[in-house]
Amino acid sequence: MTARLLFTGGLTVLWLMLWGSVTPLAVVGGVLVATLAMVAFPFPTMTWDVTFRPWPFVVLTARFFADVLRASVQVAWLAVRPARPPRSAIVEVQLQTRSELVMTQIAEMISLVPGSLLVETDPDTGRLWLHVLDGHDEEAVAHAHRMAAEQERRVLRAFATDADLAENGHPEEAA
Amino acid sequence: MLPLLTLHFLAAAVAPVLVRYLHRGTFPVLALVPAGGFVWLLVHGRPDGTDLEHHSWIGTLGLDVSLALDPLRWTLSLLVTGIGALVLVYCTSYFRAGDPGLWRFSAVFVAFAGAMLGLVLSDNLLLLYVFWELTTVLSYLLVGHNPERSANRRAAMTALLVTTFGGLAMLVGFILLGEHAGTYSAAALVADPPASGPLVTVAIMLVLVGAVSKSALVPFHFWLPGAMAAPTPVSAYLHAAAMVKAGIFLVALLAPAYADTPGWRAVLVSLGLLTMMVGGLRALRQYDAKLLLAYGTVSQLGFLMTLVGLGTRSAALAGLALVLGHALFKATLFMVVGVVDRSTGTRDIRQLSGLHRRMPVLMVVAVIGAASMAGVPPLLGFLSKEAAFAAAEDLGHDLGWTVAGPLTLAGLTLGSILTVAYAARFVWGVFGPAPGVDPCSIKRPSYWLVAAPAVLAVASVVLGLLGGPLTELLAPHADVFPAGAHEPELTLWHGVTVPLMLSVLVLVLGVALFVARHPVAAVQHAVVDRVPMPDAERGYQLVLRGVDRLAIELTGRTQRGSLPFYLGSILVVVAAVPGTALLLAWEPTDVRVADSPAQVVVAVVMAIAAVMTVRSRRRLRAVLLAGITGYGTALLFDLHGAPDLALTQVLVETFVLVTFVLVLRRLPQHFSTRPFTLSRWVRVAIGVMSGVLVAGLAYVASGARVADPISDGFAKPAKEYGGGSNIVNVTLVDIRAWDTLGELSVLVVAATGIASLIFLITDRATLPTTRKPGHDSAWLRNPSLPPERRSIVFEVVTRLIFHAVIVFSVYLALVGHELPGGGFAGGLVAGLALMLRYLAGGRRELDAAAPIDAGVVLGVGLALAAASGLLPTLLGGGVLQSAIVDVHIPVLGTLHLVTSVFFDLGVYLVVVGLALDVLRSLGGGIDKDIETDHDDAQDDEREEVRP
Repeated sequence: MTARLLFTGGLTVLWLMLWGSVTPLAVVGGVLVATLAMVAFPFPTMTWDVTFRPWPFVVLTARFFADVLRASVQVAWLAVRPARPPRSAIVEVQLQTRSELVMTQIAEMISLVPGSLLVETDPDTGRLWLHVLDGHDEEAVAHAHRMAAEQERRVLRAFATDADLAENGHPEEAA
Repeated sequence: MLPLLTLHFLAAAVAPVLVRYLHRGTFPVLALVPAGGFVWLLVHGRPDGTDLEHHSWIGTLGLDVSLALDPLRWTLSLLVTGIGALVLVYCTSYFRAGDPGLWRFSAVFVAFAGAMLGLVLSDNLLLLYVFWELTTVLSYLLVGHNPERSANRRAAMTALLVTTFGGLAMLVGFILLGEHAGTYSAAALVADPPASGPLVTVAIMLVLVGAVSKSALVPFHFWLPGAMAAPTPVSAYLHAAAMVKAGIFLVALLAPAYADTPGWRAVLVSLGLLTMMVGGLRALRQYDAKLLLAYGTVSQLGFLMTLVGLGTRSAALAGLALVLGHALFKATLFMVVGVVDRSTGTRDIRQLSGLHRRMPVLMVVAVIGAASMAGVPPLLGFLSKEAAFAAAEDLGHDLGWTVAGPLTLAGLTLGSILTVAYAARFVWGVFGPAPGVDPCSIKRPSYWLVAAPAVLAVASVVLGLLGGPLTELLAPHADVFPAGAHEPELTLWHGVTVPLMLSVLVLVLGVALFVARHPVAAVQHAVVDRVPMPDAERGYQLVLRGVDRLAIELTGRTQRGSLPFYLGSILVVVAAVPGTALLLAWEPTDVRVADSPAQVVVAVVMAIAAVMTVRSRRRLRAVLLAGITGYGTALLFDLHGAPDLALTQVLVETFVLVTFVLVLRRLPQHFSTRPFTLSRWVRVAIGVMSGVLVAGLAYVASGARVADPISDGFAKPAKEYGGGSNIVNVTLVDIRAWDTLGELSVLVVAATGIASLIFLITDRATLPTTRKPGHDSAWLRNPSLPPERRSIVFEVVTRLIFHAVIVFSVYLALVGHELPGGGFAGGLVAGLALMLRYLAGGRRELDAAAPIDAGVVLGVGLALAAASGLLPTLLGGGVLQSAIVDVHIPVLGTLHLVTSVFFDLGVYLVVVGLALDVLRSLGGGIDKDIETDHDDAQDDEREEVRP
């Protein structure tokens, strides 16, 4: 129920942002359209196994943008440097979490960073397969593994429930 | 007069409902309508001049609802309503209880009566044409009442084709005449005819083609005997008062002003007399009593057309009297046949025997009818025939026909002799003994069944005795013609004159012909068998078969089922015809190469993508490369300052791209294995040619503008009247909303085509509701993809953004009036949202997301757009006029509403419906296909394993 309210609120905010003005009429209209959309196209109810921690979220975001910047430069260099592009690799990553939502979050963020792309997921075993642009040696592959693991840790800190954290061997994070 | 017509069509509209409750009892209720008209006409009395009633309808076409009542129309209206009412009463007992077709029949019949009445009352020639073709279409339905028999279907089709052919010729004649004279009013055209000349002659001849075909004259006579496949009440009405009388009416209406048109009399009199002979001779050879009467009608129509076509005062009076007489006796006789048919189960005069003892009352009725037809005194038929002979005798004086006059008289006499002979054949055949056949056993008919013809027979007698008053009643119609040698008069006793002697001669020779029927029949057969006769019906069938054949050959040669061939021929024609025009109009124009470097870059990328598309061997790559040209176009739009177009182009391109990929699943990965055969080069050449052509057209067109673009003036009214600052959108939903409505209809048709042609999804309403156990997913409603194709990321993202996309689509639809967007873009975005659901979860997920028939969405959308267009007319505005309304809502503020937003929401729904149809057929349909193939393959494997 809370999730549904949150969703409606989010859609209303989206509506207000689209119209670019906050008037009583626009708010009522937004709530109306959001409710209508959710009633007309229902999804099954489910438990949202996530939470939200502000500080880790700031860390996650900041680091993400930094990664994007750094990787953009690297990939741009790989593209323009006067040499053959390096050999790419498919890397299998074992995640700790089994939460599909968190897994999606991690996969999306890895994909958004240039140079690495999600190829396949196996939610049952919690594995991801990534395509890494620069995978020419052991070190590059190890780097990809590290990057993925760190990304997961940051996402878990920002979003995973206490139970999920405890289960995945980060009890120290579960405050 | 208008309420009278309206009442007929209202009655037709409620008839099916009445049938549900009253069954056969509907007919007497329906009969009240024409009966009311009959009474109204009687009370109104015969008009002395022309009463006009005018309602404007489509002024720009000259098509107005203008009705007229004059002596001719009054007489015919009485027939149409009176006989119509009697036939409806007759229907009550004629049809069997529980006949499943009654609901349709009753409605069509009353509508037919209304159309005939409208035809007779129309003053405006275009309105007359409308009713004329209404009778054609409705008679088609009546003749084909029992469509299970192929003979009925064929007869109905023949009647439809022949009379429509004539009707179209007549329409051309009407338009020639009306445009030449500047009016479509029959009254004005008769009172003040345009000066004669070749144009008027051609127009009149075309009108006569219509009249002659409708009234079944040679060479169009064959449709009428075929049309007796209709139920007998229909035949009675069709032959007596309706349909075939339309041509007679039209000729009688125009004769006062146009009888002197060159060719008028020659055509009508010669065809009339010929038809009278042909019909009479054919009638003498029939054994089916109804067919005998039908050929009798053909003969009588020839007689009638001769009289009304002559255009003299005495002939006009005789013609009108004969119209009356013929209506009464022919309706009587057909109804008698119907009674006999219902009582004995046959109409074959070789099997009908001894009915004179079993059905004496009916026989008296039949004898009166047949005697009136034969012209036996003191019946109405005798009066009119005498008058006809008198009129023909005066032709030498009235028209100066020294040779043609006596010939006409001789022709009429000969035709009348045949009439007497087949009248006798009818009565003797139906009621007399048949050699070697035992008297028929009969089922006693209901009194009502006999009452209707009896009433008409009595009318024949009474009117026959009232020659004087009848003359006075009908004379005003004839008085518009110049006076002839004698003042015409309908009377039983003229004194011993030529007409009387001829009448006696006709009766004697006619009876003699009947008595000597066996030798006569032998001679007829001998002649028909040996002498090749021109046969109009065979000619008609040859033409029809020829057209069919041509169509098949043409289809076989051109429609070979090869898409490249179709596309190629279209493009070659485009290159040949507009291409030639382009070369002729070629003129160097000043053009800027580009407005900005970005345009050049985009254009180069698009060109490279296009060339690579043609060169690629993988289908998927070709599709993606083609997509680049699409997105490039969108970019060009945007660079040129058209964000609306760019937005729509991007959305369409995306939708098409995904659709393409969905279809590609069923095609081989690669194009043909022989990449550069000759045919491929030909295709490349055609493609290059088309591209060059379009570029050339754009080049020349850019320099061809001489006037200021109309859109220059759009900006101000778009804001002031349209209430929006997005001119593109206001143009679509307001300024040219008619066009948009038309395009919407096309879209609905296209969507229906996609749904029904590709996978025959005719029943779009039943969707699978059962949840097929696949795998558990908490994210979607009913995901049905196999586990190996499932993507958890896709599912989660779909779940998270689906509603946001829907909200965005609604925003786009609503904001369109002010900013880029609109119903079309909004609908596409909603369609893409649904596509997301389909791609993430498969076809069952799509059905769960939108558990609704796409047809319903399309229909509601179109209805909403149409209703938003019609609503303003109820409020006193024009069609599709929009209004700007500010709704004050307490507390919240003012809602600025432009009513055309409802039109845009209609567009939105239609596009969503189209998207659903595309996804269900090209997506879900192909999925199902693949699954079936897969299952089959597995079955095959199992089969192989088993032994």
